[in-house]
Amino acid sequence: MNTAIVPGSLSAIARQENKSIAETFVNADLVVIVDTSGSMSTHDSRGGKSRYKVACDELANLQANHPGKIAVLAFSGSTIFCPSGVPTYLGGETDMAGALQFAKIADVPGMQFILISDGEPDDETKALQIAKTYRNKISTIYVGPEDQPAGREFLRRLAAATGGQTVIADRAKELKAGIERLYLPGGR
Amino acid sequence: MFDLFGNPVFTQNKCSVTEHNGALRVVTPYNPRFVALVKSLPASARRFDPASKTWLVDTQYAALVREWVLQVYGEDIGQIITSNNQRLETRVCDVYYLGRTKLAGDEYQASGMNAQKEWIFIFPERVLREWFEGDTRNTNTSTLYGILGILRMATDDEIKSAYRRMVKQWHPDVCKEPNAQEMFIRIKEAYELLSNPLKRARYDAGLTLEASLRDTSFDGWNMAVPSGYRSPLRCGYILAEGFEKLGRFVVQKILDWQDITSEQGVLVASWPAGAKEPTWKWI
Repeated sequence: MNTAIVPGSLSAIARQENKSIAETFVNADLVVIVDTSGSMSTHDSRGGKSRYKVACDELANLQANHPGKIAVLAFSGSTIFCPSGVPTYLGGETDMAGALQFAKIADVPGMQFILISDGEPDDETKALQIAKTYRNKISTIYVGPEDQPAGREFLRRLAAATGGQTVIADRAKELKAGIERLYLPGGR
Repeated sequence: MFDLFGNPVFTQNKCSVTEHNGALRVVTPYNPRFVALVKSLPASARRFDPASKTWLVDTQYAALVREWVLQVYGEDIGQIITSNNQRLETRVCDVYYLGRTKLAGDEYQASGMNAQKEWIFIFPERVLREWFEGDTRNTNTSTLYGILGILRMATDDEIKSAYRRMVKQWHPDVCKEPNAQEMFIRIKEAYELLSNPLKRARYDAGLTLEASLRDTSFDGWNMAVPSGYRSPLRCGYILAEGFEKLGRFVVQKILDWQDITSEQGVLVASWPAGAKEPTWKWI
């Protein structure tokens, strides 16, 4: 159970303004969908930290810089909305299609989506099919190793299918820079 | 007991327990020990009726009450026959004031007062939420739809007419509830958001995401919000299905809610802070 609340996250703003998460979400304009499957526990980032830990840190910085603007979803075999701003570590499979289906709840006019993943989805075709039904663009950030081009290529195709862009962050620590590059506060 | 001639002597029992409207009406002389025993029952299973100065006790405690009467007064009142059926019936409840929900037994419920200022209606929170929000899930917050007293599928016209009704009822010049000003602002905020299609779409998405949290063990999303639900309307003629319990009508489903009106307008009830009873105003 995650009870830590990241400053600037939807939960933090909801508490600050004594409003519900749903009301706070009205002002959000970016949904970050974070892959928290098993491979995110690989310790190949600075100081021996896992990709997951670094992703959490970078996302926390980002939410602090854009308070109330970012909704975080975590996925592996299932998908969880994480208003506290910390993507719940789930481990296991990479059901990207399920995650995109879940995130479609937020596919309302003006919303931006960024999908962060280091792995290959369980069902590429289904994930692409669902992505194509989005009214908004989905941009992607690949955080896996350079020597696995298949996952990177798939994320590029997924972004292209929705008119989004793709960024490669060879290490999770480059995530924040990647998101900042893709995210346009206030919409595009 | 027999007299000198061997004839049986009948003594007048001081205590009696009878079933009345689905509850045991317990008539006994005052005895603090007996009162303490009755008060040891769950609050939802007993009630003192000031009009008749008797205790009303849930029929399931019949055997226990008989034992207590024997223990305290030395009287065996015999087996108490109870019908033990909670028959659902439909009634029009003239609710002149409906309070905030409080925990009673294992669920939150609000008490409702009739025109004679008797607290004779019980509205479980789930029933109120189902009527006002179309939602029986356990949350601590009211949705913006709930604040306006409309359902999520409400049309733009329904939103507008609900706003007009609520803003009149909660205007601080009219409503004397301590939170009238705050509620008035919330009603305006709710209307401002729900009457904007883009904001409403985002809010609906937020509600769905928020609802997904209820199936998880995550508890950090509504910690700041106080508990105790207040229905957005405080009075009305309420057509409801329910049953009689301890001399009160326990509502199980609200079928219709009409404002109380007269030639003077619509009745608005509110309870000013520190006052002993509600105030009413026609608007």
